[in-house]
Amino acid sequence: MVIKVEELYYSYGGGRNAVDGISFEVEKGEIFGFLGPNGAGKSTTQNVLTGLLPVQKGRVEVAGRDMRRAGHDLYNLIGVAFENPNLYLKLTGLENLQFFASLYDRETADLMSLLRKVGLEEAAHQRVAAYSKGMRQKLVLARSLVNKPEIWFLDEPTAGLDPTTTQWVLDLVREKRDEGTTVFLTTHNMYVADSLCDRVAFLNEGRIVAMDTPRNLKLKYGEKLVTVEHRRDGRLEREVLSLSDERERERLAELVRLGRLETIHSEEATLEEVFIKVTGRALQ
Amino acid sequence: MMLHRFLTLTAKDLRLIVRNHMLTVVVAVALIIVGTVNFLVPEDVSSETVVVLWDRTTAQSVGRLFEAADAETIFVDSEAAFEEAMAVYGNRLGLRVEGGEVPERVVVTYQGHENPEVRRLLEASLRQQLRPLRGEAPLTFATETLQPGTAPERPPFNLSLLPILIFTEAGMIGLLLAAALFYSEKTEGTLQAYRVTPGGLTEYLLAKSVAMGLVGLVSTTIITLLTVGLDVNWPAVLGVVFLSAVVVTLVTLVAANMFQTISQFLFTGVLLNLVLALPTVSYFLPGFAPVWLRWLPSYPMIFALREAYFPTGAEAVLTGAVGQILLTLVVVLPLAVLAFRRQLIARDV
Repeated sequence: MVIKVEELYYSYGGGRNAVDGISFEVEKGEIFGFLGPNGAGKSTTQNVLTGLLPVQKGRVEVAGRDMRRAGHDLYNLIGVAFENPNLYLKLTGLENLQFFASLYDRETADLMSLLRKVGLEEAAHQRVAAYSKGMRQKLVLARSLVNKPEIWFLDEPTAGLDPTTTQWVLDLVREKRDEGTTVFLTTHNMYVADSLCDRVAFLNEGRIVAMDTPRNLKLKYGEKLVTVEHRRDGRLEREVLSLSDERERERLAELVRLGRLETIHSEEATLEEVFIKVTGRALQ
Repeated sequence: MMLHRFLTLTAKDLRLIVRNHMLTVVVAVALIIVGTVNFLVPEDVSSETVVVLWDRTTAQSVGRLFEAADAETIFVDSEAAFEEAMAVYGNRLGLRVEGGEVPERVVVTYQGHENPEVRRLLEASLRQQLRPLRGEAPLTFATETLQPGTAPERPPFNLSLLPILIFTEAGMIGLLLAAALFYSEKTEGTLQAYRVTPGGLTEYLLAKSVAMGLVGLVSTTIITLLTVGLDVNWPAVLGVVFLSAVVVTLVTLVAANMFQTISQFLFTGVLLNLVLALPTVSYFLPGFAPVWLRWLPSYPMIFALREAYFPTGAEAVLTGAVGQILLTLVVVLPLAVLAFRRQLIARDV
């Protein structure tokens, strides 16, 4: 296991725990999604995993190191891309990468190649203050890869990005996974989680309420539905029928038998619907 | 590797200082100081002899008499303060008045250039001045003369302000710029990004302090070259300024880290500035130097600079100051790292 968390609790003081006794494991080369609405405890968990917050109670191992005793050398093995593009605005893109690359005790990536990979080669010598939000997010991703991390932590990597850049980010994450990098992804974007993650954990009010592959979660909690369109008295009608309900199955069979069907589509539950079903609350 | 990280951090901070136009501000202020010293402040504001008085009578009435007489007098209450006050300029006259209820004996400390006639006139004047206290009781005089070279030539008044002005530029402006640099990183969130690298807080804090120290050297060099010229103890001037700026920056960073924004920090920053400026009082009134004041990091800086610019031969002032600044650094650095770590974790930065 690359990441192992046992009975982790974290409290900022006051009322309920921000993280309330969660346990999970992440295997090498896996994309693990940590899903939940704002305030569910995702970022707190990631901050404990990356050492930004101490382990108050429970046990956390990252890259084989107990996080209660992990030294700074752990950071040679991990990369962290924050949600906010936290960059030196008065430095150029290349200078930002050069500065952070110089902090590591291991061989780092070729910085121009990295900038080329994220599509910022031409903007390498521009100050970051002149970058668009998408460019800054790309640079944050590039920065988190300068040390060729074995574990890559991504916090809302597509937040606020346009669809093209979002797709580009998803492709990059898959590429790194294929190269053997373990990815720990926190997000409240179910599309990103569904299309990217090998496994996901639903987090609600500091607790993991469900954890499995996206497909298994949808099969387990989702309802099998079909949407059909048919004509009656020359008018087009649309119906959603459940395959779990016997009467609705008979209705579907009748429509097929009468030959009135014009279109038929199977309907899977989305991860978002599963989340609402499990937690009783929406993600946003 | 730690050294490599420290150098990289320092280079980055210097680059940010330049690109945020902080160096421009520092150079501009330095030039304003040069103009003020060279063209606005007169070279001489007083040619009167200053009396350094140590009233050792039990009644302490001589001091009150001198206060009432409106004479230009520095009052001291210890041997150390007396010697320090006498070591400053060449026109000071020392008086140690001994006795019980009335003054009985006066030890006069001359600079050595006064002729016998002047000395007799002075004694007669003192007898007259002290008559209201002693009546017809006998008054004896003893004299001593400072060794040649002990009291230096008095520097022009405008140049005598240099230690204070250098301290203002390198220390106080440095304090504000260090806070501005820190808050720009805090706003950008780059400190959080730094914390997930192998870099530690010790390198981070030291690099910022050293960068501000180097900026202090630039302003000090400009001011010194354009006012005094080349004839100063450069290693001492630059060494003292650099070390002092490092300590002041560390203290500033610890204070700034307790606040979320620079506007929240401003009140504390101004207060810190005022506290650090208190030793300037001692600079003009050497008799006022309580122990707590001497331990402010700005105290040794100002007095060591005076010794570096206008040497009196008191090497101990310089070495003592450097030792005190280094000791402060050794104490403040681990405390700063500890305080920083606690605050960062508490704020989840």
